[in-house]
Amino acid sequence: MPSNKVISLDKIQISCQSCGLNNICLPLGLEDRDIERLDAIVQRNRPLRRGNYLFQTGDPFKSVFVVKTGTVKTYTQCPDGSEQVIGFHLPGEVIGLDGIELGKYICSAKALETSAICEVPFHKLEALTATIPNLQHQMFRLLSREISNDTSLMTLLGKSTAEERLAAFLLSLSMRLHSRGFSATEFNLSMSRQEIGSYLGLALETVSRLFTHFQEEGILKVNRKYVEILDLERLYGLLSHQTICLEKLRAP
Amino acid sequence: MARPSLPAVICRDCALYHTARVLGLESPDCSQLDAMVIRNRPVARGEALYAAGDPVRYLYLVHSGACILHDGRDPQQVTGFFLPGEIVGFEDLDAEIHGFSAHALQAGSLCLLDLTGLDQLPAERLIGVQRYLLKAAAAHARLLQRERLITGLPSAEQRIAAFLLGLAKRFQAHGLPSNSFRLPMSREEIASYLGLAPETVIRTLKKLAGRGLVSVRARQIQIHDPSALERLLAA
Repeated sequence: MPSNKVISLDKIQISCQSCGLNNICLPLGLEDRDIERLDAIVQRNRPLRRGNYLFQTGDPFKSVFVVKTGTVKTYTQCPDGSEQVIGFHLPGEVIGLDGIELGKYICSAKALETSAICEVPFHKLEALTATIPNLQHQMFRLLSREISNDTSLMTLLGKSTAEERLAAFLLSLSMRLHSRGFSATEFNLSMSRQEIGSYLGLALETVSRLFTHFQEEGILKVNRKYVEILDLERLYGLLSHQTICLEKLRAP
Repeated sequence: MARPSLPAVICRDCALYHTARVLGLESPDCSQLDAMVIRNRPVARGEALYAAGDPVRYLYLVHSGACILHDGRDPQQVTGFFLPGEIVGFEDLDAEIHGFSAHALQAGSLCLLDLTGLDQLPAERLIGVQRYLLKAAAAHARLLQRERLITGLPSAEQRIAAFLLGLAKRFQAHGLPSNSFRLPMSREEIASYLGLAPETVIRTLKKLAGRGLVSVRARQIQIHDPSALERLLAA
């Protein structure tokens, strides 16, 4: 199983230069010398435990955060007080950048499992961009990608069947994990069925029913949080041809 | 005075104007930005800004009129609307070619920022422009997040109410009349965007009008009771 609940401190303290995620994270496109300067401002705090907050909606925007290990959920509150999941963030994904406009965070971020986080204080990051234009360009790219993903998601939510939504979600997770060196077909879901439902605009029962259905069809093997994709081809086949640009669904 | 059917942002409220300022060009007519900015280009109704597969080159600021975004793979699927003061094109900036396509919903005008021109800027100016674009992109991300909440609402009535309130807020944010406006998009386009049947959109608008919350005359919308609409969302 790919997920390792024990996080070694050595692994957390690893520098940007030798981090396996530096090809998708902030250092992308930077010279070695500049990566070193970026590394010098990164704070590597104690890992968050499940349920701990990185920040809450309305908190002053002070830092951007990168998931090093684990998974972080971002969400906002609906007018009726219920929770709307905005996204699930895997290692290498940057969180909080969208707070730059208003100077405060526009959603809440919470660890779904024990997660190591790199914190980059924004005033230091901004000072660095004055001499490393590529760094700002990369921030802009990361934000564009977020916009791209959210726009694709509007498509998915606008028309697709429940089956297509869950298939697209699982395929997106599979690709994102794969591009980070994890297995594309075996993984632990760190989010609950309820949270998946909130993200995809589906009722909890629908999500649970579909997992059972996919399992009966021989597409998946599911054991609580553990998922094994037995038939990737058929999962792809569930997406109606024109439904979504899947490559767009794939965050970094 | 702009015609009421065609609200336009004033330059001072426009993102490109601020870009011009950070570029060190104070002139409000942006005339010195010629190399990078195409200003006030008229667009006809239905005209394409870009199609899926086109190379990514410009950001498009809606000066007047409105634009619509479609999924490149499914030309029928509406994925976004852009009102005066908003910027079209962020969604494909991390790619070389467009994955979506954008059209003008009505005759209007756009200002275009040529992204290939950014590379020619001296570093100290580039920083300022990028900083501004970063904020504009963050604003768009926030808008998408709000729109996202709409599709999560369970009933058609709530989605339509949230959609109208969302438009009102966006008009207001750019200094345009927000309680009385003309819908730039058709009922079918609203339906596609919200994941509803067109008949449901028509029926729901009538229902809201019947309860005195809004008036609907063709595409002209008047919101009589915004707080009652808000209360619908929390029900």
